[in-house]
Amino acid sequence: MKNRILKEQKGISLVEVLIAAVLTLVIGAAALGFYITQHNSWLAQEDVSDMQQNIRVALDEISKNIRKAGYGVPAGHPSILVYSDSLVIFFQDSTQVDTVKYYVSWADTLHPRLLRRVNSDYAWAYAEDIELIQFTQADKLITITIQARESRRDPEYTGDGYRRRTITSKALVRNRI
Amino acid sequence: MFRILKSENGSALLLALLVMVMLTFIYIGSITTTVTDMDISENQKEKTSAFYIAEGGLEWGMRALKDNADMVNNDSLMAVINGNSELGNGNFQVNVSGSIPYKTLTSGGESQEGKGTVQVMVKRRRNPLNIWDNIIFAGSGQAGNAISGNVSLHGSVHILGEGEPFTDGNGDGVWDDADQYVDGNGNGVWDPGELLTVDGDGDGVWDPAEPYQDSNGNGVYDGALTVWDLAFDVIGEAGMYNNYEGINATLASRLPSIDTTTFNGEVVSTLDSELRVKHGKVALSGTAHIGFPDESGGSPSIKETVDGCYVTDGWGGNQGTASVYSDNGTTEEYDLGDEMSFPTLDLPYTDPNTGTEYSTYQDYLSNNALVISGNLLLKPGVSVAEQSNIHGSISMDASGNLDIDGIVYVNGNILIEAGTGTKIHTPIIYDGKGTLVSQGKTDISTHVLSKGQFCTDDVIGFISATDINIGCGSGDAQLNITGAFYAQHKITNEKQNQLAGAMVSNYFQIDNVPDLFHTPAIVENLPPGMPGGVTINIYTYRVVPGTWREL
Repeated sequence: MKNRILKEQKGISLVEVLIAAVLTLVIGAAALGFYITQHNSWLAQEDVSDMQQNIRVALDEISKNIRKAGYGVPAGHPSILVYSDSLVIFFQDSTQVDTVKYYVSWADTLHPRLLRRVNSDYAWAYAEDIELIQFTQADKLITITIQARESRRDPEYTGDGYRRRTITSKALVRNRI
Repeated sequence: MFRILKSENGSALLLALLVMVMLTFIYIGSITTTVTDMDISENQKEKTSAFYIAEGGLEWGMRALKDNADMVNNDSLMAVINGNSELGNGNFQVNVSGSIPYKTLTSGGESQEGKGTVQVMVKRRRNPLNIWDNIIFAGSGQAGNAISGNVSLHGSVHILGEGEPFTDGNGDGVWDDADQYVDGNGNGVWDPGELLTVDGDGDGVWDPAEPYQDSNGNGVYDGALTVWDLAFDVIGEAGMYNNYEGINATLASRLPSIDTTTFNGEVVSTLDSELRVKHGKVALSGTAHIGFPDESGGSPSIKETVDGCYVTDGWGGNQGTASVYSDNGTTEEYDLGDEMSFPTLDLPYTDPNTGTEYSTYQDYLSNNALVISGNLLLKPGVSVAEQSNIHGSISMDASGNLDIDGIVYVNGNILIEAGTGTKIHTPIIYDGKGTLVSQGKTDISTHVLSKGQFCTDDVIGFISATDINIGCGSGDAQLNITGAFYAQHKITNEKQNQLAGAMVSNYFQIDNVPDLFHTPAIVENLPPGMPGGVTINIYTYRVVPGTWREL
């Protein structure tokens, strides 16, 4: 019985093997191509999603603090200082007036960051891959524009390979300015 | 068993399955990302919604507090506020804590899946509304102005700019002038059949003008100032101050010290100046200003910015809001509703002390005064013999020392003139607390000053049923005057006078940038009989600046 199997001449001929190999290659290549496309689009989607989340977090944080600007500060002390590319907010939760500054740092040229510095402490990255923030002020209404980009360059994407999103939002200072 | 291994059937299926599993993983991954994103968006929406519901709760709470300003119990207030707490797709719960005058409102908002909490501190304050708590209180104005000309105002300014009261015969809400007609037979009245060129209500019959009260005495009906009218038109060096900057020694030595407050870490003297304009615009041009930028230092330290501006119809001129330095910005609207009105001498009046009814306030004044027939002349060098009754007394020596008490009612005009020769600059120095009422006009052409401290020791009031003219004579120099002024029609000031006290009139015509200094103590020390002297106490709640936060 055992010998019969080994001796059996029926089976796969070379031609058959070759045909099978070629077929497998063709189908495999097609499948792989399809997989790679899908995977890339998935990665891109993840990146875009992350990017949007970064903007959202930044916008949420900044709007929240703009609204709070001037809380507890003594009369006559400014509540908010609006510059075109940075924002300084003052409020007092305890004994001293805290100064919170938001600005973009390009220290890491691959990953520009939105930094948040409280008083003279070390500035912490609040959101990654934020290229640009802009502020304009009309009395108590502050308009915030945030531009973020993907964390990774996508060589297949047009231009410099970074997808970008820009969101503009407004926040009203509730306390006096 | 081996047959299965040997069989090649179904390999395609296997391959297809493998590919499908692979794809499924990718799709699941990608869908998960999308679903997560959607969840984040949904959460954000819910959170935002809850935040605004919480803010709505605060607004609702503020309104309830204002509407129930007499209620001090927190539980009762909460019951009122939270009685109807549904808002949008959620609801709020407002907690009131603290005790009068400070209360803290904490509003929790809940949307379907989100929560948000905001908090603010409010202060209940007695709003003692008194027209004399302003350096200028202007009524209806005239020809699209309430204050015309240039003046430096030190203290609060309150401009109503309301239309003159009228009887609205046809109930259309606006004053209607008389219909016009062609007087065919020249008899001066319309006769049926004569052509009507203007027939307001189209009834084919001539209708007379609706009766109105000519508050400013200019002979025509003046409507309320509109957004196109300039209630307060300031150009040049003029403007509004919150301090006594520039006051001369003659006045400064007579005035009680003013309040101090801590502003921006500095103790500063302040007049609590606020600008209120109910109707009409405020125009600032050139170097005209409302307040100045805050500065530290100075001796004495003064408050440069004004405390607040409440202007409904906005700002104009070539400076607009650029020259306004106000602690509350420039966007707030007039905040006192219809609480304040211009006191008119023509309206019926009931004496609160005796209950006696008078057909007009002027009638009340003449019945409770020492009445002098004809004109009254006050002029250094010319003595006035003592006259008195139980209501008032007046006398003046040749040196200009005036003794006055109570109400002195003059049937004609009051003429206050400069002395002649060596007495040309001699001031009239008054002693006592009295009011000079003129049925006609009052002309002031020389210095009029209190003997002791103004208001508290000695105070004089001027009431004119028509106009008060200050420094309008041809030779009038720069006058120093302390007093309270009420003119039903118009107050005119034509020189660089320095005047301390308060002024109330329907219309102000001011030239040559005089300095007018408000004396806050005047409210408690009004001369007898001054119109509108009753303080109306309104309790209201204000947000304490710098107390809003999101928890």
